[in-house]
Amino acid sequence: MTSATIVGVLVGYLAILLAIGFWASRESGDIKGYYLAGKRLPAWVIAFSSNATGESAWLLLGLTGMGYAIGVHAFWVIMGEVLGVAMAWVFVARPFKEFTDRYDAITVPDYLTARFRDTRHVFRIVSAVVILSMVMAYVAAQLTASGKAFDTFLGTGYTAGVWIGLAIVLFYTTVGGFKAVAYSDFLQGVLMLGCLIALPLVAFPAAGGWSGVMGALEAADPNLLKPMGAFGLSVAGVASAFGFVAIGFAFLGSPQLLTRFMAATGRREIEDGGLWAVLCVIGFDVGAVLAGMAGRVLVPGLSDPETILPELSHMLFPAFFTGIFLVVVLAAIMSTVDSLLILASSVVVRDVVQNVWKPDADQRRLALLGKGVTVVIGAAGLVLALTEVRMIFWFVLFAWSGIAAAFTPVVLCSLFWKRTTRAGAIAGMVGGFLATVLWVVFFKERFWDLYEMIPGFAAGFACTVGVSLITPPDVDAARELEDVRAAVGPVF
Amino acid sequence: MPKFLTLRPTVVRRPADQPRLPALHGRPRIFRPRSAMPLPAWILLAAAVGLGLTLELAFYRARMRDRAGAGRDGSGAGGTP
Repeated sequence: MTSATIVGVLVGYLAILLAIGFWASRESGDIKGYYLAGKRLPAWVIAFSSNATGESAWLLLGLTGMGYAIGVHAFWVIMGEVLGVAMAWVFVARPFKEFTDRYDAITVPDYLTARFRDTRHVFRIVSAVVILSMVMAYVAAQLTASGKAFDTFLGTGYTAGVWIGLAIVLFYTTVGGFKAVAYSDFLQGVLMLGCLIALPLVAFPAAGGWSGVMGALEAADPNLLKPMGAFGLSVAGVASAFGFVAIGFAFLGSPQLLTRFMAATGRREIEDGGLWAVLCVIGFDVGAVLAGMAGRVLVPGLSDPETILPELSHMLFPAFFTGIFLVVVLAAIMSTVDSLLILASSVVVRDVVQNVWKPDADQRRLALLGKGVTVVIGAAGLVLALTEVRMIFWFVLFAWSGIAAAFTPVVLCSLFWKRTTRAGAIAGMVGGFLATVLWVVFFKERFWDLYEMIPGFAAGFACTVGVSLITPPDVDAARELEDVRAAVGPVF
Repeated sequence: MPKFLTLRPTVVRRPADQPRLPALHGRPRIFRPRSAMPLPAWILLAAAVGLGLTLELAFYRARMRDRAGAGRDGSGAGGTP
């Protein structure tokens, strides 16, 4: 009976996703419709869908697990994410939208190519390498989470869970394109927010109220209530806190998030959407960490802290709500996988096939090719998820920082520093990406486990600025930046 | 008034059969909020939520002011369509 209720909730949710796919399919016939929903998304959809995309299953399983394992020290993640989302909407979104509308850009490499007059398509090729390699790892990690979620909640077995998750995402992504992705992400974002608010509200009273939880945590381990955690005020503690804050800075320039700004109807939607986005991410993160902290009291001694959310849902809620929680975990997974698949597909079709290989290709054939590429990339992620170990969040954080370190420093310099040159931007992309990979492989263990995004960002900025300063400035690009600044107006 | 200024200390009444605790030797009594979460953790949580939210609210207010100004001018230039 319990299983039947959970399956019923799941089937209802999946039916809604498929309906969204069919509804959005009218706009997926040409390449702009398929990849940007015809640039007609309202503020609330952009806000929730960008957060749902940015916050994969890592939010629900990983961040709740962090709250469980390290307590108050996980508040640093909240700081980074809230600040990152706010800065993205306040500083980045409006000039980026203005530029991409002027260039009629559909992808972030489109924007970089036009911004730096890159006739040799170097940005497109480098972007394709970075995005494809990282997206496959990211998708594989999310499919792994899907396998774990189905297995934990329904006992389907890991492999079946991976297949089911991928089949659903592929269906509505290929049929409905970016419009289906954005609207389903909106729905998924709302579900995630509701559950992450409800979970601590139920868990805290069950665990003895606020004072009871704090008292129990202090008794279990006093470090759980210290901002610097078990490290104390040491180099390792500062590195750990700084690494947690840095997780949020990927919101400033990751392509899968920037495409939301490009798809907005106008600049007004961006001005209105920012507040929704910030409130949403506060609800997400505070809810996840507090739920994990209450979970430590209710279910002590878990061998895998990342299973605290399913454990709490089983313990505290009736079967119907357990079904909702399964749906929410799947929502977090799918809202990220669909966006990554669309992103990778757009890089192949728009940036490589249409602009480098076959510039005169028919729009409808390109859109069809985009759907085919979406399936192929999903299948590659599937193979990786079925053969690779089950390290979900190591993969997620690595891929998250690899994409962010390649794009964020370059995008920020292109929007705010007139002296940025094409050579500098290319060097920044390559440098940021390589530094991330090399840090993980050779240095991370020896330097307090410092999160790879920090050296990645540092290298990205250093290469962009250093190479730009020794190459001749682009006067037209600098003038264009001044025009855009004048059109956008001051921030405050 | 900010809510944290109105928090009252927890008053625990001593049962009649328990001995009185030793005096505090003139030290000022330490008032604690009802929560047992330490002050540094509260500060971190407030900063974590407050920094980004304040930034976004300041931006939002500036945009609303611009739109109101544009509406009064009759120019209708409150953001691009």
